[in-house]
Amino acid sequence: MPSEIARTKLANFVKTTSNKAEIEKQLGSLLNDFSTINPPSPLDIQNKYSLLYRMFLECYPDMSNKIEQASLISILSDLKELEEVKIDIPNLSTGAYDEKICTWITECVNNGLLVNITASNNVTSGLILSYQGQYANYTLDKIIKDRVYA
Amino acid sequence: MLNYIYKGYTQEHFNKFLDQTGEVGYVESYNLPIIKIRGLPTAKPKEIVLLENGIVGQIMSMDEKFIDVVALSLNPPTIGEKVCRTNQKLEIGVGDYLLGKTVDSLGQNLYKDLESFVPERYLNIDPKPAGIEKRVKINQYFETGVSIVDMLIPLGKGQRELVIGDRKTGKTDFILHTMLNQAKQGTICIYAGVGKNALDIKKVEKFLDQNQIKERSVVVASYSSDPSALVFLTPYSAMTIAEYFMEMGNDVLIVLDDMTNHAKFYRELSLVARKFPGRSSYPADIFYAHSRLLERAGYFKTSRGINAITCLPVAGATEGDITGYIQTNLMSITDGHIFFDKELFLQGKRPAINYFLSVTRVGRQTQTKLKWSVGRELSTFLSLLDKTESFIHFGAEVNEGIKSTLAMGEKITKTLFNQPAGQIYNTNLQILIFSLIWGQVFKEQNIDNLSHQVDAVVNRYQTNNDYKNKVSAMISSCDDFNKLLGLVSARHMDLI
Repeated sequence: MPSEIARTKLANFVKTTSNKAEIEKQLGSLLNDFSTINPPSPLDIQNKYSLLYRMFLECYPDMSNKIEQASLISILSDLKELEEVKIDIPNLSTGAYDEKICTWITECVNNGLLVNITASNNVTSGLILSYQGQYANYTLDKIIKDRVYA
Repeated sequence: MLNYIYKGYTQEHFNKFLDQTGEVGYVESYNLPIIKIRGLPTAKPKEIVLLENGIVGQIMSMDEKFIDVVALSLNPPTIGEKVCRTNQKLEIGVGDYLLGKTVDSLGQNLYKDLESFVPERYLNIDPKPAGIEKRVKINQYFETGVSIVDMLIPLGKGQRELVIGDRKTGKTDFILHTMLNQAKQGTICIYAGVGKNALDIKKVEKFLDQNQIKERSVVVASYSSDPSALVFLTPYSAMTIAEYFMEMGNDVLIVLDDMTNHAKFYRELSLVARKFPGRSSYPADIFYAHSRLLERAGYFKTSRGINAITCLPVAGATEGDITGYIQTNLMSITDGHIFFDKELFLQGKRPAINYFLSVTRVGRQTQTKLKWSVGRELSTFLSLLDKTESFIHFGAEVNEGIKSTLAMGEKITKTLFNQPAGQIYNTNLQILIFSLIWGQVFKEQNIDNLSHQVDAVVNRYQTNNDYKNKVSAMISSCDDFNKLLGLVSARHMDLI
C-alpha cells in the first residue's frame, strides 16, 4: 500500500489512464528484461525506458540507483490502486482542451487522481464526469433537454 | 414502470436512468450469468440494473468493491461497459389477459413469435409475505378429485402440500387432475414449470386445452436451456400472478413443478457468484429462499373477501429416498406431503400414493363430521390391511376373517383408489362408492364385475342430475358414517 504522499506523487506523474497503460507496458517489458541472464543496469534502463526512469527519479528517488524485480512489481500494484475520474468529452475537442481538463482536475479537484478522458459522440459540448460510481452530466445536450422538457 | 423490459429499451432510457440516479458502474468481469460491477455506490440488493448494450440484470449480492449482478439474458457484456441503476425491483406485468396464456418468468409471452402483452399493472415479484394479521384459519375443504387424497390425506384451501416422489410415478398426473377438478369449481390454476423440457410444457398445455380449462389457467414456464436467472425466477413470477388473481377475489391453486430443480438452479447461480457453499453445495440461504416463497401461499383476507392461494410444490426423490436436503427442507416448510411410491407404481397402483408415508397437517380441520368419520374408518382399515398383508407373507393359515379383510382391501384399492386416467371423483361420489363397498352391497361380485358396477355408478352420478342431487341430499343428511351406511343399505336398489 503506497503512502498518501507517494500515491499523490505517482498520480501527478502519471496523470492520465493512457499514460498509465504506457507505464504498465514498459514495466512489463522491464520485468521481462530482468528475467534474462544479463539484467539491465540503471544506465540501460535510463536509455531504453526513459519514461520509467523519470518516474523512478520523481516518485521513487531511493529506487533509482537500485532497481529490483520486487520493487517493479510493487510499483505495478501501486498503479492499480490509483483511483481514476472518467471524463467524456466531445469527439472534436483538441489536445489543449484535454490538457486543460487534466490540469483543472489535479489542481482544483484532487491531485491524487488519474484522468481517463474519452472522446464520445454522445457529447456535443461540455462533459460527463464519473468518479467512484457518481455520475454527473454537464453537457449542453442535457441543459437543452432540461429546458425544453421542463 | 418496467416497460423497458417489455418493449425493449434504448440509449434514451439508459441515459435517463443515469441522470436520475446520478450513479454509474462499469463491468469489471463476468462469468455468465454473473456480472461483476464496480461503481453504483448506493445500489440495493435485488435492484434492477441496465447495461449499456441492452442487458437487464438483477443485483444478487455486493461487497465493498464489487456488485454481483445476475444477467437475465444469455448475451455476454463487454468489459468496461457502463451500467446504470433503476431504483426499481423486478416487477412483472399482470392482468386478466394472462388467463389461457403461457408466459415466461418475466410475464412475457413464452412463444415470442406470438402476440406480446402490454400490461397495465406491474407487481413486485418478491414482496414480503403477508403477516399474521392478514391471514385466516384454514377452514374450507380443498377437493382434488383423487379419492385416496380426498379421503385419507384431505387438504384445505390455502394449505401448502408437498407432492414428492421419484420421476415417472404420476406426480404430474395427480397435479393435472387436481387442476382440472379445481378449475371446474372456479379456481384459477397456475402451473409453474421450473426448468422443464419444452415437451413437458406442451403436454400440460395440451391437457388444459383438451379439458377446456385453459381459460381458467396460466402456465408460467422456463426451459432448462433458459438463463439460470430466469429459471430461478419462475416460481416467484407464478406466485406474483397467483397473488394478483387472489386480490381480484379468486381462489387460486398454484403448482410449483419442481422445487428440487429450482434449488439446483439457485445452487448454480450461487456457486458462480462464489457464495460460500453449504450442505450438498447448496447456498446457506436455500431454506430462507424456499420458505419465503411458500409463505406467500395461504388463506388471506383481501379487499374482496377471504381468498386462498393453495400451493402444491413438487419435489423429486431418488430411488424413493425422501430424506434429501431439499426434500426435508420443503417438508418442514409445508403443511404436509403426498408421497408417490415407485414400488406401488410398479405394482400397478394408480395413483401410486403411499398413504402411510403421507402427511396432512391442516386438511382434517376442514372436514365435516361425516368425512372425518369416513376417513378414520378407512385409515383404520388400511392399517389393518397392511398388517394382514405382511402377516400372510409368513405363509400363515388364512382364516375367514383374514380372507374377508383381504377381499375388502382388494375391492377398495382396485376400484375406489384405482382411478382411471382423466376421471375425477367428486367427494360425495367418493363417499357413495366407499359406502356401497363397505356396506357389502357388492358382496357377491368379483373384482371385474365390481369395477363395471362402480363405473356405472360413477357414470350415473356424473350424467344424471337427479341422481346426483339425491346422493348429495342423502350424504348431507348424515353426520355419522354408521347412519350413512344404514341409509345406503336400505336404499341400495335405488343407488346402483
